[in-house]
Amino acid sequence: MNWRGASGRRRARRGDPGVDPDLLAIFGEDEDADPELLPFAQHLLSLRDLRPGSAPDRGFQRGLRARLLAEAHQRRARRVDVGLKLGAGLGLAGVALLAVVAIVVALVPPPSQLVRAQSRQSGRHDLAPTQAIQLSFNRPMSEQRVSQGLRIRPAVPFTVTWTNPRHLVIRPRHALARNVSYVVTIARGAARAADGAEAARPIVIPFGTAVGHTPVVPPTAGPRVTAVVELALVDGAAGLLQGPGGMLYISAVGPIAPTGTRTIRRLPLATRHQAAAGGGAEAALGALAPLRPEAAPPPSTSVSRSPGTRASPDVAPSASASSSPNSPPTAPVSPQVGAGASPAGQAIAPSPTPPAPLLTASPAPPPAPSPTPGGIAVLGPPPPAATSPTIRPTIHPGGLAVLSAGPSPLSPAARPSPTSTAIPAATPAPAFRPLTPAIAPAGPFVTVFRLTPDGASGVALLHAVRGARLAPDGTTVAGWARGPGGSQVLEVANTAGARAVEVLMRSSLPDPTCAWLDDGHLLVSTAAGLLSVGLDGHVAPVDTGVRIGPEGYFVLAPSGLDLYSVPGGRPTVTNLTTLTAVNLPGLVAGPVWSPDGAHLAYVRRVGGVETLELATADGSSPTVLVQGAPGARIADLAYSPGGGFLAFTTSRPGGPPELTVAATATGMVTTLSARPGIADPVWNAGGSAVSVLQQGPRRLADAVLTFRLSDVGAVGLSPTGVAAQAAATLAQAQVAGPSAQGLATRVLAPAAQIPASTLFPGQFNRDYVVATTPIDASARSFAVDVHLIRDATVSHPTQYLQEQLTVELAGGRARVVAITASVLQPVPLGPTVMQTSVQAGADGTTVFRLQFDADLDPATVSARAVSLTVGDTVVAGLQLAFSPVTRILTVSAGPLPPGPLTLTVGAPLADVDHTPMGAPFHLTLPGTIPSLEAAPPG
Amino acid sequence: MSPAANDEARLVDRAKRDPEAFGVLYDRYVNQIYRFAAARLRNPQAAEDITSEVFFKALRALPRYRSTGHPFSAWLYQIAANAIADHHRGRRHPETELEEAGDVADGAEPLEETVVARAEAARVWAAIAALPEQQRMAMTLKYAEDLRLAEIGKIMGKTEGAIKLLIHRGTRSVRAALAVGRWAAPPVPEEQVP
Repeated sequence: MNWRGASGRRRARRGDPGVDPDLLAIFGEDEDADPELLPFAQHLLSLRDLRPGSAPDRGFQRGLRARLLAEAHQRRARRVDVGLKLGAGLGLAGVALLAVVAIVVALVPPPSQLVRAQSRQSGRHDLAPTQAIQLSFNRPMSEQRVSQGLRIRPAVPFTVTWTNPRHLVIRPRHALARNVSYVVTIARGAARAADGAEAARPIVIPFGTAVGHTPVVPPTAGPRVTAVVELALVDGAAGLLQGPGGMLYISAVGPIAPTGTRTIRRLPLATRHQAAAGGGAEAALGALAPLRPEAAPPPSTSVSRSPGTRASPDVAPSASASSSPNSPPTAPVSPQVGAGASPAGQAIAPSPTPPAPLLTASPAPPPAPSPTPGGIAVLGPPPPAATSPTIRPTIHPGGLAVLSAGPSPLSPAARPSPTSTAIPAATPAPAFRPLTPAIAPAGPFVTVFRLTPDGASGVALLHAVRGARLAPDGTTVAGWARGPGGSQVLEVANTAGARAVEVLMRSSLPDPTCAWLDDGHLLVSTAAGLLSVGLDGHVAPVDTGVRIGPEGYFVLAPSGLDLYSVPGGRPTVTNLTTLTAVNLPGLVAGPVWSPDGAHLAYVRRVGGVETLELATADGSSPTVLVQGAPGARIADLAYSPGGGFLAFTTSRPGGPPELTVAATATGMVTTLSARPGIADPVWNAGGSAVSVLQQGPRRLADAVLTFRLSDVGAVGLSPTGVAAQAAATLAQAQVAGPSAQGLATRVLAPAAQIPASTLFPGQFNRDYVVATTPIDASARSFAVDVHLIRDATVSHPTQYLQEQLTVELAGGRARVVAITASVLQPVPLGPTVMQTSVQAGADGTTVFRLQFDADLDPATVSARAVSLTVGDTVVAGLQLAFSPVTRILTVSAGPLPPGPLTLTVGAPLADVDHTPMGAPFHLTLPGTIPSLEAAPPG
Repeated sequence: MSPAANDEARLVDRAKRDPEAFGVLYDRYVNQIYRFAAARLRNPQAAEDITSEVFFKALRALPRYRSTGHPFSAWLYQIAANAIADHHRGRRHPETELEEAGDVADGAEPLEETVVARAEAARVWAAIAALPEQQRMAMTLKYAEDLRLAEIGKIMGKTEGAIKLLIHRGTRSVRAALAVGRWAAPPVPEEQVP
């Protein structure tokens, strides 16, 4: 405690103008009083901003405000209503009122006996798709009755868990759709307490999912490499992480040498165009064999998949499985994407010889040197005063200029000796929040460096640690260092490199692991279970119901609700809410969770063949995204920041690893590079570059390379996609209101006659670009169907305004030239279509994708629910599949005759609550189907 | 009455008729009430429950509210104090906190200072939490909410002199507890295997 001025704080005295007058009145009036009490009291007052729980959760704050105002409006309306009626016939009404009051008093239970519920998620519209909804009741409830009367609209399957008789957790089985308003209701009769008390009215919990980037039209080409730059040379590289601000965090046994963004390969313009046509790969090999176009339907839809083959090793973006048009109706609906896709099951073509590697290297990693006593393997002459963690330049014997780090400022002997502390009782059902995505076995003792994005400078942060983890906010890094008596100590350091290392705790485990909670606590695996460790050293056990042995490790989903672990050799994903587990047999790499926490990616090996698979966050509904060639290995999965792509490495025996990118929506694969020893791809924050480690043949020959990519967000957009993006920009501007006028003017044609009142109604909460269809044969003019949604309030149900935009492409830009709008109307019941896309494959197939806001009942997905006409002719032989993971209904048709197309979906389609589709959905096209050939926006 | 107090009185009067004005009051005081509840309960979920209860009760009772010269917040604190007392009475089992320590460093100041300051604050608030009920409430209202003695007296239904005594005793007890804890406090805890 430091309130006496030694720390620079001024000691409060009587008569000081800064002293609180009340404290002066309490402690300063008596001259005989303890003179230390007044400054101490003044110091206590200065700590008020640091007290625990100093601010409520923002979501709670917003939700409570919304509920309060809703009640305030209701009360006001009632007062006005009652006042009017009383004024009209006060005498008679007075008598009647007395009678009513008497009846109410007799029949209605007092408020204290009514069931009430509240939810932290109520009124929030920024929830993650994997968010669980929690309800707290004011009294113990009849659990079975409440569970039976529970509904979510739009309908999605969910599980219900009671953590105690007053606390209910509702967890959607699949990730919810983004940007959708949901309502949880419990019927009045079902909201019954164990003692028989009921709610005064149905319990209604409205909430919404956050707006996310969802491509209107899946990209039709992968990213292209525009340049390869070398940021640093590393000795004994062990791992690479991307942090906030573009900082790269490198774990290495020895020192690193920043090289300052040395471009080692820049593709000439002509080459780049060629690369774009052929996949944009720096060098493309063929470690992947059969690939698939999109997340497949769930097992319930009985979809089989026949592997396709990459057509040519130098045509990377083609990748897709294909399905025979003659397959039975339950066969896969897999559009053949890209020219040259090979028939199913065809053997992979031999790989061409890769270009000469830029660094002479062998794939074998260098042996890891033993750390020096200080924890650092120094190749050059040791620095004279090795106490600062900052890297200093030295000269490497091999002639390379390197920077070497000094020994750890805290040698094992010098580290503070941990002492014991009491650990409070375990708390079940912890409220986990997002964590660092991946926790792997600790590996060798390394130094953790921070490298600037331009590769110009670096700082050593932690020395001789294992299992280093970067906090989600990038301010702190943690790792395990050798401690006294064979133990290991958990160290943390500020990533600014401005101060010494802090020791948090000691573990007797040989290989402890840790992860960051987003509130700044660390989650630590011990022999006894998981512990939560605060930066102040406070330790508390966390009861997940999962025991992780010394050889095991764990990964927590960003939602914090799912835990991947290997307790005893069996890879398992455990739902921490329900404590149910899903096994992932044969898992050999991963898992990694998508940035929004909705999906899980991992690699399985079955029968010598590795597949990259996606599943929902809890490990259910697995689907194959990419299938490797026999003997090929897939590893180092990394989601792009937007979740649209997965980067990974592939390798075959005897061949160099390939750096590969797959589109998560379609499975389309692009090989970026084939270089010996590349590993650990990480994306930069904007998704415009992928950095990798390249292990060299000798120490100090490892390198940090960055592949700069063409704009992943915009690349490959067809003209339809460009038009849809323009429409989406205008729709977002309308939802945002007049403040977004600048956004709207970017896409409005200068001469367009569009009334301002149409543009900024200012009454909507969300928007969907539902369909984009070409108007003319040249596909330069499009009709875009936009829905503007007005969420339900106490006075009206959910409503929508339908707008039809006319968008024209000219001069490399898309412009909205006209708008027609319908009247505001209630959103029909049952599943509704949020988005559509139509694509034509090279084999003549046409694929329609319709994304719903609700889960369809698989039993209703039948030929009766979908019809396709060309002119007046009904098309037969449609293939249907529905994926509850993506909520996409895929309709695939064989070659079609020319003419206007109309796709209609409707009854008997129904959601999982058996609510039929309220109104049929029609998609009309003039007959020009956008092909899959990418066209740049210009 | 000061201009600020006049403004508040007008706002409260308007809030009796205008829901949006009540929203302004809510925005002004929700953090204080939540903090007060959190400091007393040391359980975020329970603090949110109490905060909800306070504002719903305030909304329903607002038409009957009459200013007595004290800030509007004093009335809210009074409701909160009663709600917390009810909460304690109705609770059958003590609730255990998973995370009692402060939040993560925000990066604005060096990690060490943040950790030290937060650890110090955590010890102080732990010592205040161990005080007898009346002292704890008076200390919280003074040191956490920085209320005037008269306002605390109004909330707790005691004279200003009684509040002075409670805070004096409480402060001495906290200082004594911290002086002992300073020597006993473990700088680095060790993993303890149950």
